Amino acid sequence: MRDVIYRLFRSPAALIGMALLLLVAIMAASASVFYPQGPFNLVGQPLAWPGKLPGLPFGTDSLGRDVVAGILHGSRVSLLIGLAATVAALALGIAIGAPSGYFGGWVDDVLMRITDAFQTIPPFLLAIVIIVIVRPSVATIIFAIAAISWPAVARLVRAEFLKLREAEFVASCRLIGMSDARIIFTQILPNAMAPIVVSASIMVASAILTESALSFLGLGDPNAISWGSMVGMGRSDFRTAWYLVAIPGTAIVLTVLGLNLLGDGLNDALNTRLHRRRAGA
Amino acid sequence: MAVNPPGRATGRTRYILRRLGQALAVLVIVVVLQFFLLHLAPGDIADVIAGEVQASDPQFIAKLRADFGLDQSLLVQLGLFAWHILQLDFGNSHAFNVPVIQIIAERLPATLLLMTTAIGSAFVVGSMLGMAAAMKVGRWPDVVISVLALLFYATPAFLAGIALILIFSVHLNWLPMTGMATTWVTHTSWSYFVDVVKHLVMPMTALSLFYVAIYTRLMRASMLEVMNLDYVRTARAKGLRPLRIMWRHMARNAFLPVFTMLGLQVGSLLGGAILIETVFGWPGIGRLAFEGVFRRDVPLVMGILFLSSVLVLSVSLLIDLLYTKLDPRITMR
Amino acid sequence: MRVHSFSAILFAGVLSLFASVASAQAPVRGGTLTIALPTEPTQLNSAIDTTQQVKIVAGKIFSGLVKYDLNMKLQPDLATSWAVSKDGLKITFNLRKGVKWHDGKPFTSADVAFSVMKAFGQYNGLVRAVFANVERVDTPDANTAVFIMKQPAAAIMNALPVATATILPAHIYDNTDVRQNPANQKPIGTGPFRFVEWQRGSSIVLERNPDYFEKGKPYLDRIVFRVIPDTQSRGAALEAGEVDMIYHSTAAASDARRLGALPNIELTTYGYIFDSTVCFVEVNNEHPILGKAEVRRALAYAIDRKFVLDNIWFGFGTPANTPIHNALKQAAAGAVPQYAYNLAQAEKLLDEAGYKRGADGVRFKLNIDFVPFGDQYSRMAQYVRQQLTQIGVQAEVRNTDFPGWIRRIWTTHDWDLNMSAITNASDPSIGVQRAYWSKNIVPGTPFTNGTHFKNAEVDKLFEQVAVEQNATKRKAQFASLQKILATELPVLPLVSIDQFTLVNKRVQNHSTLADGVYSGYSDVWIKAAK
Repeated sequence: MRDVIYRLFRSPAALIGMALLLLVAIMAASASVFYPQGPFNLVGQPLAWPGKLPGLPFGTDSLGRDVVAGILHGSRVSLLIGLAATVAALALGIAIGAPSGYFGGWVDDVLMRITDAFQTIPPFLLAIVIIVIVRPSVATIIFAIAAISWPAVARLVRAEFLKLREAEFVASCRLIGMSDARIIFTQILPNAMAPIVVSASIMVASAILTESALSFLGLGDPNAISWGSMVGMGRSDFRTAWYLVAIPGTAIVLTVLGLNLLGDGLNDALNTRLHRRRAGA
Repeated sequence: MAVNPPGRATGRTRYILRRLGQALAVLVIVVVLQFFLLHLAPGDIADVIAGEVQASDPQFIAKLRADFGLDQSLLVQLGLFAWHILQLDFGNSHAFNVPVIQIIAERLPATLLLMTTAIGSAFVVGSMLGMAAAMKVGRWPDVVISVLALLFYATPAFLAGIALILIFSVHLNWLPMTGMATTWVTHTSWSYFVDVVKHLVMPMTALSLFYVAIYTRLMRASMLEVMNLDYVRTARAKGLRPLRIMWRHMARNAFLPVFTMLGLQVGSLLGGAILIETVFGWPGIGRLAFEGVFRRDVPLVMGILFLSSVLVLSVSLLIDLLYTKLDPRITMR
Repeated sequence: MRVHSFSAILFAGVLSLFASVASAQAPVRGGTLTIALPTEPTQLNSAIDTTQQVKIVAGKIFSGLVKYDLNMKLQPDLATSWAVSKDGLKITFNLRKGVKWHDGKPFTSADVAFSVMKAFGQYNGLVRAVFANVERVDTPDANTAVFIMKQPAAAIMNALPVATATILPAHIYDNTDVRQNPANQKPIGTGPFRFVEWQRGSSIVLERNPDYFEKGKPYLDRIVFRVIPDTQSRGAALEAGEVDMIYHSTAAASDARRLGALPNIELTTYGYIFDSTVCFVEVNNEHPILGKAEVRRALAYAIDRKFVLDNIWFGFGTPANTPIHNALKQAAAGAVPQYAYNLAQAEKLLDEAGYKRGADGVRFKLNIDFVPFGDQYSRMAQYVRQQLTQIGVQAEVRNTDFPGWIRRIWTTHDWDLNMSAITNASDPSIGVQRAYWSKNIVPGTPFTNGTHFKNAEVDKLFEQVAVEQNATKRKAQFASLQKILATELPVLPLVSIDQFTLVNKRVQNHSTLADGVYSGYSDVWIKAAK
């Protein structure tokens, strides 16, 4: 583990990624400090360009709300949606993928056909339908994004389990009579975590992108400001106030970039470890 | 395919049959799932029509529901839908009052054109960028390409689309910003082709950026992996020219993961098409499906989803078959 | 011709419009007019479907019996003259001779009788109630149609232009299901333009009808409707000259001012009298707290209508005191109670009504819904929520799509406040009565009385104005009606909206009729580029 962290800190990509994410984390943490009243207060003349009014370095939106407050509070919502959707998708993906790869046979067949079905329906359209059914809110957006992202996790986990269930250490666990559940959770899963962790960072990124696309189409939560919903709301004033799209848009791009860089770094760090372990075995 | 009696079926035929069976099972799940999802949504087509035409007559609405068969139980509706699908009858779109298959036939070509050119160009451009980066690994072209790929990946397609419109249509006035063709002038086949290409460039680019990023990274990674394989090293040691090595030995192997990705992406492309078709007014089925959901036009949405599922499944089957051809090491299970 | 002050009253502008029409050059034949459609129509028969995207296309293909000019004076269309009997029970129309349908068949009084009794009289949600007063249509000869009324209908002449009372060809529609007829997809009319083709998802093309009954017209060779669903793209397409016209406020309001200031673009708010729309906060009158008029009045004080007008509608309109649009002169409001923005007053009224702030500063909680079209209503929802927070009312905004929204407001009736608007149409008897008349509380049916407001006096007055033949008396009835509505506040009126059209300056005569962009466009022509 220490190895991984060491290598992570030696990779420039991962460092930049982590720096970007740290920045986002600070923004999320400081939102309530700087703007304890939330992002919805009407503070000044609407559609004031950045720097035009004192104290409003990023200007105001169409209703006269402070864009900085929106960006800070929005970072919380965007991160929350990205992280929560990813955790949910990981849980579901592992729950489906692990037994599928471990047991094989008809269990695998049934679970994989369900997974196929979810992958066959255009994922974005599925997310739209789910949100339309339950009405957009932060929780339902998380649910919808999780519902379209778990199949990829399930496949990944299944592939790892297929590989690892034949491994010697698993066979010896079986020999000493360890239960399937225990083998799955205490033996195989920890060893399958590396690729899962790497894909998780990418999943957070794509969840943030999906949320912004949904907001763009008017399917955001009107009670919470996210970067995606800021882009969505700013879009109709795009020609007169493009900063309303550009500022949150940049925030999205930088965060997604940071997550990807971190994912790359993690991938390199973990893979070298894997290579070495296999080589040493 | 099924000509061979089971006992004499070759491995390949058995494999195909097995895969077809799986595809069928998936299709059944998809249809049932979609059907119930769409009916879970609050409100129905009768609400929409009554709302749009501001009809204030309960009998009128009741008659609409009866006309559309919405007064029957869900299971009966599902049964009827399945029975019609088996006869390849998708019914009438409730909103347009025209056979679903006709509307889809009118709008599918646009989406296919957009999707194939987007994924095709992403494939070509991404593979080339990935190869170039791999050849110069660690040096500045690699860095530039990698950063570019990351940016492409991180930029939402709709933002890219809006930016393209601003630059190339509004400011430079080089490209038409919406639609697929100038339909109201008489075209020769050549001028029509040019016209469509002009309309296509921006939506295609906006849709493909994300996939360019993916293919670049994928190609770069798999090239790097292949480069270290023994036989490539041997070839290099034998003094074969680099380009020749690249083509004969590396690209062929490196393409495999890229191909697999292609199969997986048909579905996500359709999702991207919804956004791109909206931004560029592209007359495809992505937007049609999207609007269909909001109009609760269940037959239309079901028809589109059914066909796109068939498309996704056949593409992935095809890719699997290609895969077995490209890489003889892969056994057919 | 451009309106410089958007909040200028429509009629003031009409005069200047006429001045410029008079000085216009001689029309030139030829050219293609391209209009951006925000939503694709599902069919093209405006007798049964009065959505904007249907009306704007169908209005060019079909004709009505009469037209209205911008002074609301009747002009001939398919009828050359008309006479209403004193008691209002008999209306005689003399029809134009020699008019042909686009398929060559002659137009006769039978088409009129069919259209009234079996087409828009049956299926047109907006004017059906008005035409329900028609007992039968007599056709003494091919060029005379006589409406025999069960009772007089004050708004019937206002309902007759093509946009609401489209005359259909009986030889194609009779004995068929009007709503399912294939001609709805390939319409055959008597209007200035013929249907050519419909490329689904992208465009609808019409061409000049060479046999149009006004000789020498129309001037345009062709009208192309392009489907451009994205608001930004529509604005950009206009700017780049790809389309000539964006109608019915379907560009972003903030962008409209910038576009309207471009040298080649004109911004006008004429031509929407028949689509006069008032936006308001609808209140669920059956809500235990909101059911009290003093609470509704408190909420009215908390909303700054000037802010809504300036920042959400970007100045396109005037602050509204009643749910009747100020462009409808036949129903002008007299002196009515005003609720000038005053948060302290709002809090005081709530305290007096017994809804004091709790320990957490909250008096009560509400949900806010909004019409899922355009940005304005969702912005209104955001704004109203923020205002309510200030007076101790905590609100949650709910984002629901159109079918779900309709279900919630009119079927499950599970809502508190609703950001909405309805068109007054050409007369309050057509467009306003439906939302406040207690006999029109019809659960499950959209755009009926969804607030469940019940007031015997209001009911009686609406019934009176529907049949009143004397314009002065009718106006007085409307004034008392609006006084009650502004006192009881079944809805909190916010803005009388001025719809706008953005149009390339090469297009001439586009807004010379009361139904503006929805009219036939036989007079429209295109000035050649210099």
